[in-house]
Amino acid sequence: MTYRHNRRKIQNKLNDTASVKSALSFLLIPSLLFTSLLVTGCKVSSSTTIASTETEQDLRSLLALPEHMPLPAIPDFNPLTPEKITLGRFLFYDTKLSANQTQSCGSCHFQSDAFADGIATPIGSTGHALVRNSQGLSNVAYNATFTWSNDTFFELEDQLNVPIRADDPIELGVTDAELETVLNRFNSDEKYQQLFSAAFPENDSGASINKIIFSLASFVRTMISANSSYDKYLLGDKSALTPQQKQGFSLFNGEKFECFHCHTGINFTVSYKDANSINDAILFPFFNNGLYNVNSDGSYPESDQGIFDLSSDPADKGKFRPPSLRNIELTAPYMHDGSINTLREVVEHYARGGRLTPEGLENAGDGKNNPYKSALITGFSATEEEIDAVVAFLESLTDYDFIHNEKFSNPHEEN
Amino acid sequence: MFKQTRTQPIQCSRLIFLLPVLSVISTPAIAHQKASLFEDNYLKVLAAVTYRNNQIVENGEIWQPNGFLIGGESIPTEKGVSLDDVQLQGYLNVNHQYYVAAKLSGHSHGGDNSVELENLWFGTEMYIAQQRLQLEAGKMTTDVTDTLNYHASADTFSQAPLSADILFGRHFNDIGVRAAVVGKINPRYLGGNSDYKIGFEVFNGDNFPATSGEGSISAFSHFNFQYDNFHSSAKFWVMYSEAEKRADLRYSQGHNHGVSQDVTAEYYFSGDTLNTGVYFDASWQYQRWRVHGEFEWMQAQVDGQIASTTQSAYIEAPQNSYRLTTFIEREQHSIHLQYEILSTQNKFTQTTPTFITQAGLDNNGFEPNRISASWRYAFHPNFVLRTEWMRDESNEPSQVNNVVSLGIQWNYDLL
Repeated sequence: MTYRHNRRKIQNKLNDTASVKSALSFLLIPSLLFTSLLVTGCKVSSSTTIASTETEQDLRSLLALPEHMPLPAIPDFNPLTPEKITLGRFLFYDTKLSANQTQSCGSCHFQSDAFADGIATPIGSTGHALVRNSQGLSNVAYNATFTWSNDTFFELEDQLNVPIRADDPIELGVTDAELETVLNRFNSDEKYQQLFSAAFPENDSGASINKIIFSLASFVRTMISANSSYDKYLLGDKSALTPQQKQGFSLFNGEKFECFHCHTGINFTVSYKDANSINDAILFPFFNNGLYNVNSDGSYPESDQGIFDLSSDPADKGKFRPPSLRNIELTAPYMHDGSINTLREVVEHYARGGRLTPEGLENAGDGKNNPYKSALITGFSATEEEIDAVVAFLESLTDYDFIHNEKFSNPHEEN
Repeated sequence: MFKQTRTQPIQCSRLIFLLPVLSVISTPAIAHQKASLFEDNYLKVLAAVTYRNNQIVENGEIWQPNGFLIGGESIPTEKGVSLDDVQLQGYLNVNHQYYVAAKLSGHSHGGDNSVELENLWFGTEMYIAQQRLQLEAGKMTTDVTDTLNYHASADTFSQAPLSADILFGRHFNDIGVRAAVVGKINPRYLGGNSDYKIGFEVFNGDNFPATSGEGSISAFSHFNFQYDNFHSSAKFWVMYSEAEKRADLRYSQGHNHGVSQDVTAEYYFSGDTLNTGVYFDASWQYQRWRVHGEFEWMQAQVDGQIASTTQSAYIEAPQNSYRLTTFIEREQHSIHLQYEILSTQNKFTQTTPTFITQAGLDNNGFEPNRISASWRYAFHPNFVLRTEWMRDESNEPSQVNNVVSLGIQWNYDLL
């Protein structure tokens, strides 16, 4: 009996010892895991890196793109090269590019005006009155669409056909009938022969309309404006904006003025794309901002009704693309028809929620009641001080380096 | 050349492959298992009220630890008195055929009140080849770790763990299904009293970091060991979540915590997140004393694209969180200590530093961290007095906040 009792005690003790060992073995696994975590993959160390490919770096260098600006989307069919940019710059300022040799692109896009022209609507090379205001060209490389109101022009190359080739109204007037004459001018010019050969070494057959357009597009894509007071503020210089401009910035991005809904992001427009834009997410926005309400039926002046002229859908009446606000101070007058003279009047227009054109005047009607007006333009009450602040902020987007940059100047005037 | 990739090796998730080895040592012997997973019916209420002398972000400011994308309901507690949490929990055992459990929860602070049906789910158990199987479906919390089922009324501290807040939007609730095998571990392999639970879950994706309809799936394994007065448990899990245009809606839905809409910029995340976790605890009771320690590591492998209305960036970021907790308890009193730290290695491509900074993702070597200490006194069977001190550096580097709080936890069985 004693023996059996002792044996049981010994057995229990052995069991206890085994259990303790098992307990230790149970602890061993997580302990090993814990140790291995500490030793291997579990560094408590934070970092932030922004990687870029060699191609991206080359493109940045070619565009002299500041670090805070994203890479613009360059179409695969027209890769950017220094030679094409050079040729494009010469062509941009050369009146040989108009049929009657009186105008060039530079005739309606002055560098001093951030490549706008300071008038409401320009006159074409043959005297045709154009109906749309010449847009500034700052940062057009980031546009989602081109021209004031065309939802099919996704690339600069699409747009450039219009001023060069259109015959109604005529701008540069390089119609089918005039094309050969214009190309011969370049083909017979030794300087241009060299420029075309360098820009298009794989196709040494002289000038062509596609080569002209591709070169102009390449040059215009280099027109990056990113050294305004606002940019300096963005990069950390908190004194780059005055207190009034900072107040204006806050109002601009506030729910009262609501400017940012249409003029957002690095280029101050929702009509934006860059090299990294997700195709499905790119917006192609066109808004009716209540500038007119002819006949009180939502119409705009018959000469230009925006997207409606392409779609014939009444809901598209008065729809135009929100332009970038970069250098907006320099691109007056404003709106698609240049019908507002100052930035202050523009802000007042939005504060009212639309423009009133009194009875008795041409295109009379209250744009505030335009049935197709964007829901974002509801009007608001603003003090004089607030409007001044918003205007002051808009003026902080002026980039004086851009309008004096020799890269964009007329090469024909260089010594 | 940097090559964009959507896959990332998972360093620590290989630990999960140890689990099949552990499962081999289990026994299907039903005789050794708890008679049933079913519980008795209950209806109980829990609540927590806390006064705090400080808060970790100023009113009107957004809490976003530099370098981390967060969302869900991760809003830090506020200065003053708040009803952190109130819950009505019910459980109905329907003839041991199935059970229904529900949780109604709410909180009140800053003049805002909210109540929601947090959980409602059904469950049952069955046997397949003598193996106990638990099935649950409905709106429920995840079973991967208790850390993701945080509630101030039931947990040690009145502020949610940083890991739960940052990596999962505080607590995890989603509509889904769960299947798990439950059993005892054969004492031959592991002495004492050991059990395991191994399962998987599929959720709709309503909980951060997923988005509704995109879904989350997880696999988990839990092991418990008890020998005399020693208890230990270990958990290993992995969860994969997908998100499509996930926005941070913390301050724009419902009560905005004083944050103006003007300062809540919109950034969207599309991509996937692979979370991995390891949890280990051990406690030992000696007479009237109990000591406890626990360690938890969680990792999120973030891989996707961040976009605003205009710009975007690709992100690959392993984010690690570590939590160490310990307490000592004697009768009604206990003293708790907790240390938490997170790190992230954010790697971006196809973007600009400015965009990353504006999105709050430039962490500049910052590791959010927090030390918490608490003395809890269960002065009544239904009440616990909770006194806490927290040193928090989770928002920005060098922005250290000390918060002292005093609160009451209450729980009462209505049935």
